[in-house]
Amino acid sequence: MQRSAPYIQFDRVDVGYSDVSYGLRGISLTISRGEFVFLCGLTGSGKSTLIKVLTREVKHTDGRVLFDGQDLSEIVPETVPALRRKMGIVPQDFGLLPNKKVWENVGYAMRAVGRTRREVSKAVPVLLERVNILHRADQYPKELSGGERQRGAIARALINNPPLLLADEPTANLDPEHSVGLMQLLEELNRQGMTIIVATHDMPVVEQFGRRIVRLEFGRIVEDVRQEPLIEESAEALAVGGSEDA
Amino acid sequence: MLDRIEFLITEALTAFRRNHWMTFAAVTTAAMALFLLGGLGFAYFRLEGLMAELRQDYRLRVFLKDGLTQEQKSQALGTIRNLDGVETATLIDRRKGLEVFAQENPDIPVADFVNDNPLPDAIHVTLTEIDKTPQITEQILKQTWVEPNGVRSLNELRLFLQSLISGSRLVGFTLGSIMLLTGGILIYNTIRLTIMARRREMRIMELVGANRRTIVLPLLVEGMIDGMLGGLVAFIFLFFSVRAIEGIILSLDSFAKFQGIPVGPTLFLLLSAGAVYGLVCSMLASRDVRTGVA
Ligand SMILES: Nc1ncnc2c1ncn2[C@@H]1O[C@H](COP(=O)(O)OP(=O)(O)O)[C@@H](O)[C@H]1O
Ligand SMILES: [Mg+2]
Repeated sequence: MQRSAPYIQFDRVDVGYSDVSYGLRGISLTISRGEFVFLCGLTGSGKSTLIKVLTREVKHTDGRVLFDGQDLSEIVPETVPALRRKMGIVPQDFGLLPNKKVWENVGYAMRAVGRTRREVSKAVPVLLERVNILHRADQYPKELSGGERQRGAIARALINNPPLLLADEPTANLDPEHSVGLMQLLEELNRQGMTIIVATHDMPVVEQFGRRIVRLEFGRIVEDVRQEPLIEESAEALAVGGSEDA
Repeated sequence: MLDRIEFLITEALTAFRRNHWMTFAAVTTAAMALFLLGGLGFAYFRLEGLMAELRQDYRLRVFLKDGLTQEQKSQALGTIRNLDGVETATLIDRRKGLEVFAQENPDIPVADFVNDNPLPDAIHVTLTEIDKTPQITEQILKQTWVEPNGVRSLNELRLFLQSLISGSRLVGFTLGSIMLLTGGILIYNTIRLTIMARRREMRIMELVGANRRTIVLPLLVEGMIDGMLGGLVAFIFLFFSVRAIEGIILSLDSFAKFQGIPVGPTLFLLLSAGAVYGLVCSMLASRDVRTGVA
């Protein structure tokens, strides 16, 4: 695996929601395999839009987006599912289904992508273990803490064993302590080889992690910095990071 | 494969638990539509076949009031002969009437009645066209010399069938079309409700990369089940109404013979029609369900 080849590349990408409203303007950004990137910025700065361009919930209106060697302008409705199976998505707005237990939530998603019942009952405990909520498998989401719920949503995002994880404000409703805990889980997944992109406006938490920070304002990148690693493992990611055009 | 089908059916069935009132309304209306269009269409063909077998009878009997003078009777005869569609009219007075009755019913001894004749004077009429029966009957009944309700058609069964057929054709087709449209809209709305209620599930399926087929098939299955339930209810309605109609016909003509509806083929037809109908409605309702923008 060539870790230095651009895994994700935005080249002067615009997203226009209408004639007057822009989601992104002239975004150029390169992310390599195995990187851990925080997308920061105030509400409305374009973090969700950037993630949604990758998941094809939003179509870019100008520029070029490459993902895993594929030009996203070639994606048609029939190929969207295949694209999404290459990424784990932790959406901002849709958490776990309230009427299903934690393991059912994960199992349901697996069934939806064609896994058999047998595969589900084998894989779900492993996934829940991976995000440390196996002991909560039989609980309903309302019985869990906010952090546990997010872990459940992350487990669900991992069902296709994707190389990329996109998390949109996963710590939005968490207190600082749980936020740090959740970010540590994401770091752990990153250590296992996943590329992680996290949108957040939680600067105090972000700053505790020595990671790349891409800061957005009004749909533009205003800063793209690599912090001094505070944790050993981050050194690897730093060493392999490609060149950024901000 | 079985595993897949099980998932899709389970998904479709959860929708029934969710909006059962809407489903109930949709199924009932669909049933009415299928009953009216399919069922009455079927009854129509059956009745027409039956009509063709029935002997045609061009005779009418007109019973006159008691105590008419000979002159009044001749006048009545003249009036009837002048009606459009009347071929012949013959006066059969009560005495002659008894002779005719005796000829027509050789088993019944009539000698007892000769002195106390219960028959009224009558005019026997033959018609040129059988379809004129109702008009002629109506015109005769307006006359002063006729007994109240004193016109008998020997063709009542035929007329009854005829009114059934023309009635069922018009009412059935009109009502059936309205019901078909209403039922379609109700099934459509049921599926739209399901889509709204399952917004979260569908979005999650989209995000984990489920195919459009997986997301949409449960909706189509739901629509098909709605339609098939409609077909089933329509069948039950049809089964019993055919029985009832046959009962009426049998009471009018004991020579008629019936075999009821052919259960297997009719059920199969109504179920398939319902399935196709529900499928079309749910396809329309779910045509904007997408896996993403592209
Ligand atoms: N579906 C949409 N239609 C119109 N405008 C939108 C839509 N989604 C986002 N926007 C606009 O795009 C800009 C960026 O939004 P968003 O990407 O959601 O920002 P963030 O996630 O950083 O809060 C905002 O001005 C927002 O109002
Ligand atoms: Mg956002």
